[in-house]
Amino acid sequence: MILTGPQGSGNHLWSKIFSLHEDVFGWKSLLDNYWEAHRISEPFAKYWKNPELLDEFDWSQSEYFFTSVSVPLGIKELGTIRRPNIMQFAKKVESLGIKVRICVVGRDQNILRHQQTRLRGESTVRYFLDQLSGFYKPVFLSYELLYLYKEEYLKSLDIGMPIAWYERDKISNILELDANNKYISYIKDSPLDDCNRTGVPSPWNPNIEEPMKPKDRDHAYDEEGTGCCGGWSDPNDKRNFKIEISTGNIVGDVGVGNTARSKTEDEKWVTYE
Amino acid sequence: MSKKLLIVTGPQGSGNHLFARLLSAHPMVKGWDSLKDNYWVPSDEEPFARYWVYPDELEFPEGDFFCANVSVPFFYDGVRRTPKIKEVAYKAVTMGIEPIIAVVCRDRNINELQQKRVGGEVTMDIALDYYSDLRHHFIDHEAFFLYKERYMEYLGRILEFPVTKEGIDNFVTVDANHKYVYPIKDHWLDNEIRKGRKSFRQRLEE
Repeated sequence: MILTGPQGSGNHLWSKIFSLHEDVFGWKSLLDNYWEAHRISEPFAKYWKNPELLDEFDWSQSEYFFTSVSVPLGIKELGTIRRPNIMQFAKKVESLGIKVRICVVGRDQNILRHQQTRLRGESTVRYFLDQLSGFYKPVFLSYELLYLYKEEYLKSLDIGMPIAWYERDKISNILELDANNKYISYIKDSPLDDCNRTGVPSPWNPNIEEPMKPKDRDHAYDEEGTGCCGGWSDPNDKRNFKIEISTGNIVGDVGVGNTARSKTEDEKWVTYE
Repeated sequence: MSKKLLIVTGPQGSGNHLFARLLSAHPMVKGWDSLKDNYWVPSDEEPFARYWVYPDELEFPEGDFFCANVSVPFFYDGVRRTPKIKEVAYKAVTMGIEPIIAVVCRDRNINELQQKRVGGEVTMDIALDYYSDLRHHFIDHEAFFLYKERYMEYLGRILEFPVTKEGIDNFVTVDANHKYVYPIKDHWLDNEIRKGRKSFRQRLEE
């Protein structure tokens, strides 16, 4: 079983969980340390560098093998960044007569971005997404589900390999600190809160930008082409509707001799449909 | 091919509306139509809402695939209740319809903050207690926003239910978790991770 995911998505955490079962050949040393460097102690680290070496691997050690690798590995600014080729590795293992299952780890995308930017200087999710489309029927695993449902979630997983979901104490120790918690802060309110409280439906969808409605005007030129709905007009055109709003002055047709005059109090109010 | 009823459920605020909309989107699925016109609709206006309280009255419209949605707990006619999901599932079986139950999960820290803010109390444990006695699949809020179409394909596979990827772009531009998540300056493990990424030679030199 190949476990993979973006950097910081919980590769180490899942490696501990899947290495718990005594029948699984996995990253056992990680069970004694909170964190270890992948390329030093992960049992398949050297094969990720060169999958051809898998010919030499002793497959008689177990019925179930587990390996974990993030995409990418390392840090760009340290010159240690590498992109393990998941499918190249998987195909090599299959060529040796071993069945392969790919599991993809996920974690909140906002947290991933912050974590990667802090540690690696940039978001590196794109490197993983580049490879994802090439995986054949991957199983998706969730950091958040593991923390919320623990052994119930582990029991539900069908990954073709035994999982020690019954090791409740060890799992509790592994999951003791939720690494998401430190990124999350209380917010005072959200636009949908009132709908929830009152039961009134909300037609407003924060995912969809409101369409701009053209206003009825008593002149032929297009005031909407001002940058307020697309930016396709000349921003230096004084007929720009934004200029009227921001200056409080009505701007006449350019080139026909009109001069600007101050608005009356009533004219300063704009009525929208 | 048997008819199927997909019951999408989750703790309050876990993304029930989002997944009800996504999993009702396939043209073969009869789902929560009013969610197509409104971003949010109260739970007791969901087409199956009455059955969560009165499961014996369960009826189905014409069709082969149905998607129903309810949170645990939920409000029906102004009263907070625990929906009778198990009873609805059993009733569906007696009517020759295969029930599939899928529980939505969202980051617990965020979900509990949302519940406290909107409802004044955290109802997470009510949901967890109820689901512990239920045979179900899991749906992951965060995986949808991270992996999008690929995750929807996966859901279609594990749920064995028609799922479409058409139009999901309408739901992924605003990630509801975003407003809760802030960067942190540093973390005690950061330096260890950075050290582990240096070459053996660099480490020896230090």
